[in-house]
Amino acid sequence: MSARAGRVPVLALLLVTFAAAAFAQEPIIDVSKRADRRIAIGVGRFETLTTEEVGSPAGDVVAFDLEVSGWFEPKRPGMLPPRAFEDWARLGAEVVAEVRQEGGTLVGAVRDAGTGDVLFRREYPSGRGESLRQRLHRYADDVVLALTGEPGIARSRLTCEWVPPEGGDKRVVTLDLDGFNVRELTGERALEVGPRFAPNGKSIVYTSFSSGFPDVYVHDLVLGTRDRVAHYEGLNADGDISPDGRRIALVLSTDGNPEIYTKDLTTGRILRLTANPATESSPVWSPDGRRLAFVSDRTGGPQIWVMNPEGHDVERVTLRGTYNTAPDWSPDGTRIAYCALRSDGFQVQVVDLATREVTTVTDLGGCEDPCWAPDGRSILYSRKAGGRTDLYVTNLTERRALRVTRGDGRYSTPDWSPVP
Amino acid sequence: MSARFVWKGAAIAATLAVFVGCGGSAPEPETDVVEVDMPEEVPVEVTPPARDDTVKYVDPNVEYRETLQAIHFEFNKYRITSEAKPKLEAIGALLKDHPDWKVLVEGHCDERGTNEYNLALGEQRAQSTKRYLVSLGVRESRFQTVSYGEERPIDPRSNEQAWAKNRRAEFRVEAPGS
Repeated sequence: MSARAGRVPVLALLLVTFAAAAFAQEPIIDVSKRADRRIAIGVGRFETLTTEEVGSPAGDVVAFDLEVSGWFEPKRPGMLPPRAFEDWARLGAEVVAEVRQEGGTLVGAVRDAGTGDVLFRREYPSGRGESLRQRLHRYADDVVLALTGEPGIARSRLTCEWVPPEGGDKRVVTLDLDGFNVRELTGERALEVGPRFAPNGKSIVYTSFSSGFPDVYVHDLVLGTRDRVAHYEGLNADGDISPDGRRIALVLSTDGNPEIYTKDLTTGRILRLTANPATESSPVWSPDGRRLAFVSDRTGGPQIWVMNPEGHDVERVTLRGTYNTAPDWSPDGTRIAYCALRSDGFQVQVVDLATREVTTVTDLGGCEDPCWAPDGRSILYSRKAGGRTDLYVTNLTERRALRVTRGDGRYSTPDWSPVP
Repeated sequence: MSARFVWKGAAIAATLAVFVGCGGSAPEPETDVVEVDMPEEVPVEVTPPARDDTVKYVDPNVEYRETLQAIHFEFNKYRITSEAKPKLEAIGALLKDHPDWKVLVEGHCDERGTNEYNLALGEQRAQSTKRYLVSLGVRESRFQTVSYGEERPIDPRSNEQAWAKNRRAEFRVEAPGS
């Protein structure tokens, strides 16, 4: 292709600065000049790393990490791996990821598929408390940063509800973005739902039925302790901690039906923000803490509304459809993702708050509970299909759905850690 | 510090018609005007008491199970249906015959829709069921409500028949004398 032929000399010239580029975030490839086209990267099988030590084939790990970043299109070798380096270019790769193990050290590099020049190289020694798999994720994030100038997201953590394959109650788990390393948060045998990270990523708010009723808890991920922050008559649910960490927005029904409240986590002061007989749920803070999005069926079906944290300046955001729920603010605060019931089933949609323009992100149906990636470039959600519920990520540019979890149990209501 | 708000409109009435916040008379779901006592200003500072978690609710004894059967709801609705009213009247009479019983009303939803919203919808079903029984003369302090949203289906299948069974309110009791 002429595009590649034209760029290769540039890549070769940039070779001399690759080390500086990796640290200074000067991109090797200027993705802003490539419109929506992703970088085609050859990802082989990395045969010096075994599936046993990594947990899954090492090439699959790196290919997923690069693809989920939204910047790369992995080219995989298929049945017959390329016998010669030149075969990668014939597969359509512009660059090639190379990973091998030398002693305990992981050596990762990226080479230009046309010239063979090394564009990036870094060593990841053992002994820093990082597993081989974690080092593969770090390599993938470094490749994204070095080649595009944008931070990778492969090491971010997720939380969600999980039902194990043998069945039972939902419980809150944390997991890696590639669906591995699933850990139960509390180990309790009680129904747990609706986890959300605090904005600083250091705690998870969720609802547990361990008292026999739904109560809101804040679980400290550093200390491993938890506080019950709401246990009033009826429903206590949907906790979301404010960006400054001082308040929690939540749904209580102590006054007779589900309404939106805030509770000051220091003083315990509780403010009721809505007052009507309709169903209110799912309050979520805007990133600047000046607005709350929530769901209300006060006009008939459930719709997305926004208000300020005093309950004033109330405005309906979704104007079409009869069922719009589960709002989540984009990290820049300009858009809200939500779940819409349409003629083709439940889909994830995004509404631009300035223009009210609506974009439908998914097309398969059964898609619920969207949340934004920390870089705002993709959306994570759960999808019910064929008796299974898994997490998927869709990049907003490519609109390609990548499955995160692998059907080992049911995964739902995800949230994406705002920090790595 | 409260004002009377009058809610109008068929769409609102369809979902909210059983809400009675101000009167002791039986709810009238066919009306298109709902009157509720509501605080006129938000935010309102509230100091709710902690929940009493000590009541040990159990499934009703066999002899009462036929009366204390589940009632069912329409999709995405929490108003009491005409089929449910005679069942609730029988339940109300039973509860008035056993004034020492405490009652847990559990609200449930079908699997469709988001889990968070279904948790609120299940609570609305439990609350509207409780309010109907209170309107029949059962003391409000005898009730507690819990919503399980879509987490406790009776029938795990994904079809209309299963969904209809799963949209329900159930009753559990603490019956000291029995």
